[in-house]
Amino acid sequence: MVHVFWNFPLPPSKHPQAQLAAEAAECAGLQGQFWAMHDRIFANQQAWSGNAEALKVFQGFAADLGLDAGAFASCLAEHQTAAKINNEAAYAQQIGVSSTPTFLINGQGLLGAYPYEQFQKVIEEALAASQP
Amino acid sequence: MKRKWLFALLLSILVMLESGCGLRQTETPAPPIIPANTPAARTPAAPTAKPTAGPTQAGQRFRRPNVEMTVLGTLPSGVPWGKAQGDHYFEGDPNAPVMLIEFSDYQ
Repeated sequence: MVHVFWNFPLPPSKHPQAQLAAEAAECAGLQGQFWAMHDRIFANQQAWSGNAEALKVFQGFAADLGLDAGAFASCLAEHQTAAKINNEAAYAQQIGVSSTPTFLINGQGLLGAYPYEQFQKVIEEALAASQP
Repeated sequence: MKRKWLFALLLSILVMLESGCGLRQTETPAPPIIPANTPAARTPAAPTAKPTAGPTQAGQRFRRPNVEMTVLGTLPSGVPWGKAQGDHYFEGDPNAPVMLIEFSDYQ
């Protein structure tokens, strides 16, 4: 299976730091470490979610990953990846995505954080449907 | 009597048109979510990659999107990663028969 990540940060009124987190992951991506930062942000959600110093937390993650601290800080300060993120979010909304997480498994929508078994079922169905 | 019947018919057609009745095919999409604190977001460019199906579209069950994918490296786990058409990051075998697109934020 291949997993494609599509940014869809909810508005600041709902998820105040979602945009910053998305930019942090994309800024790490500019240095080749998108997935490492993506995983670290998810795994340490309690460290930054609701934390007014979330920016410092993300800078700490960047340091842990060995990123160029100056380039990472500039990327965030200048919102270098904001347009990409916003384009993705805008298009996602146009095709009907309105909540997170939303998954498309070979075109089949799965809206919400379902248990593992549900994903397994849909993925196996998709796999079976792909057989000639 | 005949004129009354014609009038009633015309009136019912007008009511059907006004109420939509499944005849309106083009709805204006909802405005995109664009945080106000990102100046670059004011002029978003059209994305270049679009999934072939949305979650609300019928008849698209289990159709894998045909998307160009470029492998850029390998994760420590040995899984390939790269960029999909439209600049989206992916992980996994780009030729896998199943593609999971995750629309998500981190919070």
